Amino acid sequence: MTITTPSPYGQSQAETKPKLSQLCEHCHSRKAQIKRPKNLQKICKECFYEVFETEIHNTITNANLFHPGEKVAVGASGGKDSTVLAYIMKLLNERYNYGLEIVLLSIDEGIIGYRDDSLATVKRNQVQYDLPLEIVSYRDLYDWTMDEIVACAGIRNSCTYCGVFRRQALDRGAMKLGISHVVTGHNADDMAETVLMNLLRGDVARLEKSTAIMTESKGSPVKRSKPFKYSYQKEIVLYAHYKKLDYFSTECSYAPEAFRGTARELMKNLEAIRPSCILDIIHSGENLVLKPKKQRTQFRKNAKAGSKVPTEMEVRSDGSVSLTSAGFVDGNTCEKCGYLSSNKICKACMLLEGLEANRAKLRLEGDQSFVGAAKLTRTLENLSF
Amino acid sequence: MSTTEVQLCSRCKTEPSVTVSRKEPFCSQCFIRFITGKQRKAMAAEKFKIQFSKDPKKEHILFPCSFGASSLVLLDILLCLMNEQNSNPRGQVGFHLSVVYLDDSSFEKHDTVITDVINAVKEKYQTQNLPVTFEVVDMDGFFEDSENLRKISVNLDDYQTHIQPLSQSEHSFALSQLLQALPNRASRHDILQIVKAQLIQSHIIKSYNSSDSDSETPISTVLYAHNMTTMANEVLSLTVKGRGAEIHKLLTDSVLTLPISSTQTAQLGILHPLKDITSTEIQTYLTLLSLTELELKHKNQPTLMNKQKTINEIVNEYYKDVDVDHTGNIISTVVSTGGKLGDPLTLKKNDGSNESSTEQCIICHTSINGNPSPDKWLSAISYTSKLPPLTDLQKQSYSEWVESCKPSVNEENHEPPSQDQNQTQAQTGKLCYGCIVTVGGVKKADQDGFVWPVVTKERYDVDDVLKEFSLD
Ligand code: SF4
Ligand SMILES: [Zn+2]
Ligand SMILES: [Zn+2]
Ligand SMILES: [Zn+2]
Ligand SMILES: [Zn+2]
Repeated sequence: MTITTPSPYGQSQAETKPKLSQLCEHCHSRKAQIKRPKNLQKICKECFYEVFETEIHNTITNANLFHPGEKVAVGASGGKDSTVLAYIMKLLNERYNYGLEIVLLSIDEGIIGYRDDSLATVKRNQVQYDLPLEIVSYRDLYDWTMDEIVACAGIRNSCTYCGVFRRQALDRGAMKLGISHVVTGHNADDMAETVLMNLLRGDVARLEKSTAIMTESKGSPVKRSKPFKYSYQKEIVLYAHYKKLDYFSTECSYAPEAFRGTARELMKNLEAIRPSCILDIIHSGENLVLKPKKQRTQFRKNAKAGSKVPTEMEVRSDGSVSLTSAGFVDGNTCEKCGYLSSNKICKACMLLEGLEANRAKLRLEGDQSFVGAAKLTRTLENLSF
Repeated sequence: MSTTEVQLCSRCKTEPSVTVSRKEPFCSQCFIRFITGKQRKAMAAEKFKIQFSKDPKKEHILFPCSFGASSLVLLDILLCLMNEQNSNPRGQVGFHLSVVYLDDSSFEKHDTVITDVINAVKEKYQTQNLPVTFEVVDMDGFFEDSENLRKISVNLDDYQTHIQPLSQSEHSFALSQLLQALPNRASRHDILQIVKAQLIQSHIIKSYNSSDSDSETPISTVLYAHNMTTMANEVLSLTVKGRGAEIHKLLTDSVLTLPISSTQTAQLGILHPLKDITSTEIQTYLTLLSLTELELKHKNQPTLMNKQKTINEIVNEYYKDVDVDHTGNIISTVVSTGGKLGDPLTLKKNDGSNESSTEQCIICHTSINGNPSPDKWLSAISYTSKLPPLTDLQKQSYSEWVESCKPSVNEENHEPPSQDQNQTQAQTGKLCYGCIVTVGGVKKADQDGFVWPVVTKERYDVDDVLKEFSLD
């Protein structure tokens, strides 16, 4: 099945004439059915589709995200954001002749009851949208599933591990497919939330880049971009709903970190009195610029980098790593896995080492609960295939 | 530690502690010294110190004072310092202090009367012997000069700003009218903050232009009573209001260049002496010195629903909620992060479009980022559907709508464009992002609309400023 652009005006049911006050604020000819979360305008379904799609197209063209002939992977999780993204990417690519080759790329973190079900959704999407699908699993890449990692390292840091592994997994999956551009379903709400979080956590290193639509980190051969940067989460939900898209809506059993939850709650309260606040925060985020550091510290830092003093790294929940040294030296690779890394071993391998040590320790101490849990997970996983 | 054992103050190690701050037990005296020390550090400059010369050139400090908790602490510290300097028989107080209160009583209800509060302060600190003046500025005076008043609106299709003269019937305008035109408490609060900032600014400009009073030198330093908690609040609130570009200004103690006339500028020192002190510490200070009774009390607000709160109130609640261990860690993190920010206008790399602008917002007077300008930024991410009507029914609806838009001849509400509109057509001006959002939120149907004193020709022409802002 291919996507056929639904006739934007097609309303097969017999129409009844709406009252003047009920008319769509854009076309003034159809009945308004949706209050746009972005600006509370009352518009008809057809205008909503048109506006939602065109705004994303404008975002893509204004930022020059793609070039003709480019092979692009859509990070597909089966959730609503990435499902709508896959649908929209295909739609816009056909409507505006982007000339893109689109592939779905999914990561199987190994989370029973969540990822297995959502991957089933992605597999249906693959058929519905007629796009090739590649699945990369933590199990194959790291010999660990997220369920095992949580059993070993606890639930608190689950997203930290998951983020680091996912970043590398996406890169590896993309590279395997010969793709150097992954688009993800991060939306405006995520962006705004990230701006607030970076301020609240004092994450100076990331502050300036919190709203970048495209990130090309030197440590990765694959660039990421976010065509939904200005799309409201609620509008994505509405779009998926009215277009009857097939998506999976259960949240990961290892709930996102508590702190992010508080930021989400804050945004919800703010949105109630200022619907534009999501865009307002993004606008602010684009204007947060760090003062240049004092000359002296700059000098010291360079000296430090030159003397090859190992520098500390911080891993963030999205898997990115902050480099406190002068930066990444191109061409360096991880001694263990060969993945690009500014340090001797890459972040994923560092985390894996810790996990292995922990597993060994737990085995020594004869902690049956862990071994049991992991075993159980494996068994369950096997059962599901 | 047994319950009967009294914990000793960790500073003097003799007095019993009465409060714990930053995990340290303090006795009353050491706590007050600790807080006062922060202020002294912030104002360590030679210019504020006691003067021993015969003909001292006094520094003139302006202190916009709300007579709220933080303001009272700073006022207490300043007046005590003055009294201390004054008691030195050989010296003179090193600075002149102008305490200015922006009076909002025409639209905000208070339980205490401001003149009573000021009189109580004067008496308590024996200010008759000190070089300090108290002034009450009526906020309603902001709209006093009707000549510059304009109606500002934003076209939500292309985000262009439209400036129109007021009609003859609207020759006078009050701040309360503007506040009524705003959709909620949140945007009223935003606008009031801008009005306050501009009233303070014109107060400063006035001090440079009043040649008649030789006794006072022009204002050289402005003190703000923000504490760490209110600073952290502002950082987040400004971000939420789309005014993130202004954070650096708020958090940097700096020297500000203020244009005071078309040819002159003045260098102003901006200080936040309480910026390292949390609001809990402010409260402790007030309690220990029994200053709470001096506080200007607002009429008890009924509990507000979420929708009725201001951005700052919601942010405030958030900080309280996340500070579960009462360490204030997040607050100090936010303040120090904000302190690392700079001016995006001068720092932002020009990504291609070399369009940099030095234009200022006609409402809040901040410099507008031209890269891209806020109207372009907004237009680029918003799209208005142009889907035509298709079915006969839709076409019929559409033509009915077109018909309904035509002004009917009898209706007087739809005034034809007045002639003076042509006159002022040349008057253009831009809004910053935050003000576009605020003005865009004003109900279109509202007759008052967004009225503001707009001075576009020579913004700091002395005569204009005097005419506009002189209160007597
Ligand atoms: S919520 Fe955390 S653990 Fe679950 S999939 Fe997302 S990053 Fe991984
Ligand atoms: Zn419509
Ligand atoms: Zn590695
Ligand atoms: Zn003591
Ligand atoms: Zn403005």
